[in-house]
Amino acid sequence: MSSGDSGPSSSKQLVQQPAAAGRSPNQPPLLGAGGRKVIVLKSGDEEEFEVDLLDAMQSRTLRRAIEDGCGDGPMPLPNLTGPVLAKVVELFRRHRGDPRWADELQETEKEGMFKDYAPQKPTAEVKGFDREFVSVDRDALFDLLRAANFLEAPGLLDVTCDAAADAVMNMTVEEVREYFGLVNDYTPEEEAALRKQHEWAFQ
Amino acid sequence: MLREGGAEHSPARSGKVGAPVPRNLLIRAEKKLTTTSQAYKDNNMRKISAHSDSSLAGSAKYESDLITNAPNLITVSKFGMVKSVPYHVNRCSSSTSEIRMDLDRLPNSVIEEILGRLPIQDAVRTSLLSRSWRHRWQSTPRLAFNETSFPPRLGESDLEYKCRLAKAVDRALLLHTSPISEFRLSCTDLENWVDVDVWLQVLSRKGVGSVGLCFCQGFPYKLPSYLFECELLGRMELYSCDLKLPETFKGFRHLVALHLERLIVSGADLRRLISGCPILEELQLSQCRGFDVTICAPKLRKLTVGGCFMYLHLKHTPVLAAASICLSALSGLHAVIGGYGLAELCSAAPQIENLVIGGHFLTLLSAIGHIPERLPHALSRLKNLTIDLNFEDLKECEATLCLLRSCCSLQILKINHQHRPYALADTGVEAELVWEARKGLDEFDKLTAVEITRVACLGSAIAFMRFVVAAAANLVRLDVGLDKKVLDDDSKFKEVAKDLFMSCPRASGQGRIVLLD
Repeated sequence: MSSGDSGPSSSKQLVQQPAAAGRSPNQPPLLGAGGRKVIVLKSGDEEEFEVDLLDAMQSRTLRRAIEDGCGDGPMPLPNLTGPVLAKVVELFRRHRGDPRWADELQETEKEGMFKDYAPQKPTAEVKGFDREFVSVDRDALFDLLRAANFLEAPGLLDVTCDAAADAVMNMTVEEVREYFGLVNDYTPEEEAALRKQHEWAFQ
Repeated sequence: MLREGGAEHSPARSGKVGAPVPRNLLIRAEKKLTTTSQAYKDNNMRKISAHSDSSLAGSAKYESDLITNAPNLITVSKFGMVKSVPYHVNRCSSSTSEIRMDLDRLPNSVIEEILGRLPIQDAVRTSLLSRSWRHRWQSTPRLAFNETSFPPRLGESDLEYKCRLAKAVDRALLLHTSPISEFRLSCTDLENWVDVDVWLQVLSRKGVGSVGLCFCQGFPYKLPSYLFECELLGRMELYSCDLKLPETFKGFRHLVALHLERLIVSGADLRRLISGCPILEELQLSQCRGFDVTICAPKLRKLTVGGCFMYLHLKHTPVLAAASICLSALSGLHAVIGGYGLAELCSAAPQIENLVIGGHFLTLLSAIGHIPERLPHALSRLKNLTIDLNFEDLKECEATLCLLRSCCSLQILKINHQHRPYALADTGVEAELVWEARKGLDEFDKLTAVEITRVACLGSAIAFMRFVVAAAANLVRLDVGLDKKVLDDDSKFKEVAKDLFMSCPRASGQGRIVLLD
C-alpha cells in the first residue's frame, strides 16, 4: 500500500497519545485536552487514533456508530490501514467547523454535544492542505476514496473525487478504462458506431 | 485544469464547491448497508468469499457487486456482530492478477461520483468505457457548456465552434433522461439565438433547478418567456441578457439565489421579479445601470449591488446579514430626492453582520438632511464594516462616526480613502474636528483590527487614527496604507504620525500600528 507516500512522518505525529487501555465499555467517552470528548478509532493493523468527537461527526458512518452507543471503546475499522486512517483523521481535524455538515449536526444535536461547533468557511490554509492531501499517486488516492465511501464523509469524498476527476480529465477513453480498471466489452463495430454518434465530443 | 473556468461567470463548478454529496448517492449507500447487514446475519459472507475464489472468478458482475458491498459488510462487523471480515483475505487469496486488479477497483457509486464531476465533453466520452457506461452520462445532473468544459478544437473557426456547440447542447438535451439540476451556458455569442429559446423550453419542461446564461458579446440575449415558467428554479444567473417579464409571470417559488449582471430590465419588472421570489436569500446586481431598485425580500440574507442606479431602496429586508453596495458617481439622483439616508438603510437591515458601503454610496447616504449622533436603531450584530470614505468630506465623516457609534459589536473596520473629484466643497478642516470630538464611544471595545488604505491627506486621516487608538480598548492591529501616487515619500508621513501618536492617549496596551507597503 502506498498511501503513506505523501508523508507518513507527518501523519504519525497526529496520533495523539495512545488511548487508555482496559476501560470498561460503560465508561463515558474519553475526555481529551480541554475536557472535550474524544473517541478512539482502531485501524485494521491495530493502530489507535484519538479523534475529537466533533471531528468524527464528519463521517456519517462514525456518527451512526456513536449514536448507537459504539463510541465508548476503541472502534474497529478493519478495512482502513493505519496510514490511511491517520490522513483521514488529520483531514477531519483541519475541517472542523466546516459548514457542509452544519445542518446534519443540528439534526443530531443532543445534550449540547456540539456546543463548540462554530461553522466557518474553509480558509485558504485549509484549501492548501486539501491540495496537499490529495497530491498522491493513484493507489493512495483510491485508498482514500474507498475510505471516504466507507466512512460516508462528504468532505473527504468531495476532496478526493475532485482530485480523481482532475486526474482523468483529458485522458483518452483507453486511459480512463485503465485508470479505473474497467473492461471494454464493446465489439469494435459497436465502439466505432458510438464514436461516430458522439463525434462532437471528441477532439 | 479543465474545470476552473475563465471568469466568475463560466465555471461549471461554481455553486458546487462545498456542495454536499448528492443525496441519491448517500441513500444508495444506506440501502446497501441494510441489505448487506441482512446477508451478514445469515452468515453468507463466508460462502460468498469462497465462491469468488473458485467458480465465479470469471463473472465480472458478481465480483464487482462483492467489491462494491465489501466495505459495508465490514461496517456491520464493527458493531460487533461478526468478528472477522475476509476483505483482505479475499484480496490475498485470489490467485489471478485479473481478480486482484478488479478488487483494486473503486465502488461503482464512487466512480459515478467522480465521472459526474467531469466536464460535459469528458462525460460524454465515458459512454465508450463499457456497455454499462453507455447511458450513464445521460443522467448526469449538471450540464455546463463553456470554453473550458467544451473547448474549441485546434484550428476550428469561430463559426465551426459555435455550430458544434449548438449541436452538442441539442444532443445533450435530447438524449438526457433524468431531471437536470443545473444548466450553464457560457459563450461569446451564438449564430442562432432561437436555439437558446428551444433549450430553455426543454429545460423548463424538465424542471431545471439552476440556470446560468452568459453571452459576453453581441446584443443582449432577449430572454424567452419559457424561462419564467421554470417553477422549480432555485438559482438563476444571467449575464448580458434582456429581461422582460411576461404578464403571466407567477413568481419563482423556489428561487434562492439570483445573480444579474449587465442586465437590461425595467425597474418595474425588476421589482416584480424580486418580490415574486418569496424565499430569495442571495441577490446580486452587478454592472446594472439606470433603473430603480426597490428590494422587498423577507428571507434575503446576502445582497451585492454594484453599478449606477437611480434609486436604491431596501424596503423590507429583515434578515439581511451581509450587504455590499457600491454605487458609481453618477447614481442616486433620486436617492437624494427620496430622502433615503443612512438611518433608513440601517433600520431596513437590523440583523446585518457584514456591511460594505462602497463607491459613492456614502456620499449619497450622507447627503440629505441632518446626520444624527447615533442611528435610531443600533446595529448590534455588525461585525465587519468596510467603508469607502472621503476623509476630507465633513458629511461623510459625520456619517461614519454615527455608524461607528451605533455598532457596539464591531470587530473589524476597514476604511478606504476615496478621493471624490466631484466634491462640492473642501471641508477637510471641519472633517478633522469630527474625530477630535470623540464622545459617546463607551461600547467600542470589541474592535480588534482596523485597516485604513489609500491615505492621501494627512490631517483628517491622522485625526481618525488617533480617534481609533484612543477609543478601542482591545485593538490589536491598526494597518495603514498610503496612496503612493499622492504621498510618494512616506518619511514625512511617518514623522507626522510618530509625533501625533507619541502624544496620543491609547486605550489598548497591546495594539500595534503597521505601515503597509
